[in-house]
Amino acid sequence: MATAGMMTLLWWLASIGGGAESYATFQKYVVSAGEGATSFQTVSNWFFRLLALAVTFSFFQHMASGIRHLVLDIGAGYELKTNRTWASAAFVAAVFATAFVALFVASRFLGVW
Amino acid sequence: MDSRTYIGRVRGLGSAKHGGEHWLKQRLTAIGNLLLTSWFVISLLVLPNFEHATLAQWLAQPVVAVPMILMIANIFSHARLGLQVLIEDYVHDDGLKFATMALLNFYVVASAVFGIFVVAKLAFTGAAA
Repeated sequence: MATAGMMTLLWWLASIGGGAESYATFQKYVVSAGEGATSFQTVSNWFFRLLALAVTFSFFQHMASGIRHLVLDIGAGYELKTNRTWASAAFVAAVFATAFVALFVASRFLGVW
Repeated sequence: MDSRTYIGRVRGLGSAKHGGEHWLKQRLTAIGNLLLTSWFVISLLVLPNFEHATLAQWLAQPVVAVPMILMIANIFSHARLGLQVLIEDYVHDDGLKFATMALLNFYVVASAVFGIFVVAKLAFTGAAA
């Protein structure tokens, strides 16, 4: 998941560096092909939308869990109950952060709703 | 019991005083990533739009290009450290372990250099039309 995210990030950066035309190609396959989309592009669009959602969740889950482990590394929070609470909290925080970003992007940039 | 000298027994087992290096690097890059990726996500969300011109101008600024380069370097070194542990823990065949480790190193270095080059080129020479 992280590897797919990193590769897409590099493709995105390279397409910005490559000029308007190469960025348009990136958008056609990753974001939306708009009118006259080939069926391959439509499949590709949905693949990348699902990927974006999965990568966003993986990212926030890794971040929340990582922060939890940095706290554990200083020797705090090893009591069973505390540990369990924060493990669940990290997961819930990741779900909320993902939902927030997904809704924000969908409403603001994709013109959904 | 083997009859080798003390130095003969420890040779090849890795150098002393560096035991914590990998562990510490993993934590330091984690903290770096926490800051840099937070910056990246928030910066993207507050951009007015995702048109090419907006992004190219945004990315070419020093205050964006520098953290972006740092983020690319940091992400790929953190990924290298993490995937290295994954390989060490789960790939038991020596030959396969060497091959996957080599592949991992090639992959992260090539990717990071590519990403940094793209951002630097844009920052130094301006956006292509």
